Amino acid sequence: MTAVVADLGLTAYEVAVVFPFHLGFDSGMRILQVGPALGKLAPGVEVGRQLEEHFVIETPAAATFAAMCEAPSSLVVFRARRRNTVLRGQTIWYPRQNALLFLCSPWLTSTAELQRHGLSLADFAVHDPMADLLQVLQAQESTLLDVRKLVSKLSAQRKEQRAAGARMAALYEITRILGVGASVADVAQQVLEQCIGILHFPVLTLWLADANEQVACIAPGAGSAEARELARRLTEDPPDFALDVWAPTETPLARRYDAAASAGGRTHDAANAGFPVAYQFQIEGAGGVLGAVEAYGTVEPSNERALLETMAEVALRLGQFIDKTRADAALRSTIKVAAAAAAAKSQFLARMSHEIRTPINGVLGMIELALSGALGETQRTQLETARSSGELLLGLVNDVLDFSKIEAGHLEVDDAPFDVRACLQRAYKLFEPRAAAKRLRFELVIDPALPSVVCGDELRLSQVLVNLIGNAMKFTKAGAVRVEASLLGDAESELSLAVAVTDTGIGIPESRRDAIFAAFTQAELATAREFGGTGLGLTICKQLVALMGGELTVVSEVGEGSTFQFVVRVGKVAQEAPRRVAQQEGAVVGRPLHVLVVEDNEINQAVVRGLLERDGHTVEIVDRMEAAISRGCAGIFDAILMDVQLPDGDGLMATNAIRVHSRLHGTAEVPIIGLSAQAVAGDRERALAAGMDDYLTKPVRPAQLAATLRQLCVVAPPSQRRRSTSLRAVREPVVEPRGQGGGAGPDLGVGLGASWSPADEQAFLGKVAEYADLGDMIFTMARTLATEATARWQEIEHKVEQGELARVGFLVHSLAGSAGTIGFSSVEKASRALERALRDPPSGGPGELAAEVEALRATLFGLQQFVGSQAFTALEAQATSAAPAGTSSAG
Amino acid sequence: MYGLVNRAIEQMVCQGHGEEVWEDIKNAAGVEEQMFISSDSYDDAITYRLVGSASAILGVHASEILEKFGRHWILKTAKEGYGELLRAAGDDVGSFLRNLPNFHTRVKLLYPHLTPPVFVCEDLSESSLRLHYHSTRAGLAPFVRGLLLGIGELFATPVVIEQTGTRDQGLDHDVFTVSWTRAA
Repeated sequence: MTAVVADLGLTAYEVAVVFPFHLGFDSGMRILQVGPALGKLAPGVEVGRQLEEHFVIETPAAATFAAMCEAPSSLVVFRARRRNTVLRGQTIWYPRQNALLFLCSPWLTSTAELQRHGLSLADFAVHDPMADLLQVLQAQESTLLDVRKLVSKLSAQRKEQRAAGARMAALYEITRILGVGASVADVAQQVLEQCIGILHFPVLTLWLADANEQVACIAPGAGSAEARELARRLTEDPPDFALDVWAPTETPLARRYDAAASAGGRTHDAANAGFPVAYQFQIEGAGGVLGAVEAYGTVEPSNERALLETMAEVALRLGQFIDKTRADAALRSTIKVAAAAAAAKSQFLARMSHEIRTPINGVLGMIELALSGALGETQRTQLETARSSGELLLGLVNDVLDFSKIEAGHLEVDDAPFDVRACLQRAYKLFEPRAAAKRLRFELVIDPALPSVVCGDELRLSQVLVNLIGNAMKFTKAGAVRVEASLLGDAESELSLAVAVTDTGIGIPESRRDAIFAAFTQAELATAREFGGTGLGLTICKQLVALMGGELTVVSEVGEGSTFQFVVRVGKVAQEAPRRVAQQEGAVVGRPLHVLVVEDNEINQAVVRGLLERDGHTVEIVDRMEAAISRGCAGIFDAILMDVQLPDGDGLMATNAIRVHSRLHGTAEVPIIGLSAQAVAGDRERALAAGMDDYLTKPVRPAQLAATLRQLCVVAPPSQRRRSTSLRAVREPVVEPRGQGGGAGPDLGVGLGASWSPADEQAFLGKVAEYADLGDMIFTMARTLATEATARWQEIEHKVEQGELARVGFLVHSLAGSAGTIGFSSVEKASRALERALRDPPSGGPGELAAEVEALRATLFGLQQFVGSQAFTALEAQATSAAPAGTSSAG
Repeated sequence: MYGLVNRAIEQMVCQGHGEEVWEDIKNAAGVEEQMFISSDSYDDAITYRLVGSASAILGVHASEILEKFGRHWILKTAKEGYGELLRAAGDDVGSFLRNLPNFHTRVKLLYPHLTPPVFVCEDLSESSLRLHYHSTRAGLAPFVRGLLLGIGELFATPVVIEQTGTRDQGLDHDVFTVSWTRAA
């Protein structure tokens, strides 16, 4: 061995340093020399041992000493038997010793092998590239590790990004749901479903502190029997929240179930049922905790903090939502109460007006009647005083009514031609006596440029004038009152009319000048005591002037007097003579009229009867709607005065029925004048729409009533009165005609009288369709007729026997009208036949009429059968349900 | 700077103070890297800024942080980054330290773009040596001190380190005398 080393010129130490893994052996394969590192790698390899005990020669394939001697530049590979370590290197043959030196290094493919073989880097020669290779391998492994980490981090980020996106989407959806929801009950289920999308917990509940109930939501697809059972128990069992123990989390509003501290309660039970993870998200409102959303799960959520924060956001929004819905509800309730109060006030005013006007009507009417009789001077004076007091009272009631109309926005100003000069003069004339009595100088100055006829609201202008002049008179003890009207502007279609009322009265202190226009206010309390009044006059005037497009202002000096002035816009009129004036002034005293008065109040009946009879008219009074219809259709009256409120219906319906009757029969339309104490907005329009010709408010002024009657009746005597030709086109029936071949079905035919024709039913169906907008009125009329049929026929039969043919004539005429109205043509024809027979009486006397009477009886019987049939009831139900609401009073 | 060094700072802050504090430190340092690749080279300024903001946010002196980072680097980061090779770098403190020069020479050969420090060992006895630390970077001596402490802990061997020469004294490098207890 020494010789080998000597030959190389290296010391043994140097060989060991340069080739720490070397191995020397002789031709007998006996080990001669072992490097220090090889001894570490393959313990037991010792000098003198046989090579094959420890190594397998893999290359060269011959594995013989000779083969290795012959190829000194070949790669030689040994494998250590014990650790299976591969050694690779080259052999050098020393001929003198006939020995081989295998200079090798272990072949390693990972740093882990280094450790496994019990080696360190210090075991390798510095020149051995294996150490470098190991470092490269390590760098590669390290880089691979980095890449894996990066990929895993990216995946986690991506996952979290998606989860955050889903949470945001759920939060957005919840915000949307809360945006359109009206109450927690509306939104609870939807919100919980979204929360499940956030938390992925199988069971969620929502409870409110003041509702004593919970809404639960089970995750779709996760609805295991256990989850359903838990949801059932959480929602059905009465909640006892006191036992639950929740621990705070880092997230405000979010609390976590504290299993360690809980010994009972719902959450404890849920944990025992297999849902140990629970969170509570408190819903807080402005006033404190309102309730909570709770989530029950089986496993801990990943990314707990983000989930809790999102859910806390949901809880926050729920709290805001509940606060908002409660505030809205409170606001709605307040508005409702306020609206109810306003409605009650309007209703009260309307009722009071009716209640007050009715007795005033009685008082003024009776006074009027008494004054028209013979009276002593004292009595006359007393009655006139009573009348003026009544009128004053009426004025006060009117003030209150006007005010309520203005407040409700129901007052509208008229726009019709009127004589403005005459209007001013009338107001002036009204106060002349009072001015004279108070010894005041009273002047009316009218601008010569002011035209006579303008377009506007004469009544309201008059009202303002009378009010202002009345105030001036009232508050002026001495001096003068001056009314001045002038033309301020003259535009293409409009004029500006300025009116000033100046007095030398007590004046108004500056501090009170605004207050005098406020409702129920007078300048001083003492004023009210001294001068009376409602304090509404100026408020109403100011509003009326505003409605006429102007403004009412005041200039005043205490002790010196006041000037109230206003400018209103009025329309220009081409022709000089206004229609209304011509009608009123050109009216002539009429002939005596036969007037039907429909009025249920006995006092009013007496007043109206008195007024009409005083003027030479004859009067028939009825007090029910049915009677009003039946008498109104008789065609014997020149005019009808129709009260609007009747015990069994209203005058509008009666008017409607009478108009329908006229149209059907082509008879003359009798003038109908509405008469009511209901002086509230819209009444007049409804009355006219129902078919009335005019509408008067009680208490009725005798002159007004007379003028209206003159206008409506004198202008067109009965013979020339317009006939109703505007029969409405018959529309298709709303129901299919029953029966075969156009005839009545067998169910209708059975039991009908011989003269009852299937055509009656067809005609009735036509009427139902034609008057569909009158609701069930046609059916009511049919029932009424059927109910009265027996009595009517009995009376006809009786009167025929008695020979009272005029009465019979009236009865059958009425019956024909009624039957015709509702399309029962058989009854109508039978009635007309009897009527004709009466007009042209047979020589044989009343007995000859028996055939017609019997025919009428048969058709009436048929009518009763039809009205009593199921078919009629079904038809009525069908038509009533098909009729549009609110059209029953349409004209 | 070797990515693994920055990684050491990250790991230590995250383990001791949580990811949020690390994000705060990164934000304060104006560092936007999501993570550091071990064998990649990063601007030295990043390391200095990270140390600076960590010092400010954690309220710990920079040299103390660097020393801790050094220990952490050996015990956690390098162990993870070098795996078996770290342990194979030596059988004990002595052989490990004596291998340091070769190790860094190989690093320089493998990654020509890196500028690793140069270590020179000067044996004083079987259980002590003088370590010369040459670096183009200033101020990292406390980091080396931490590394040496970590190496002692790695082999469960108490070590005594004394910095016997500093750049502050006008030398061109830092000098440490390291002595250890020989394994029984």
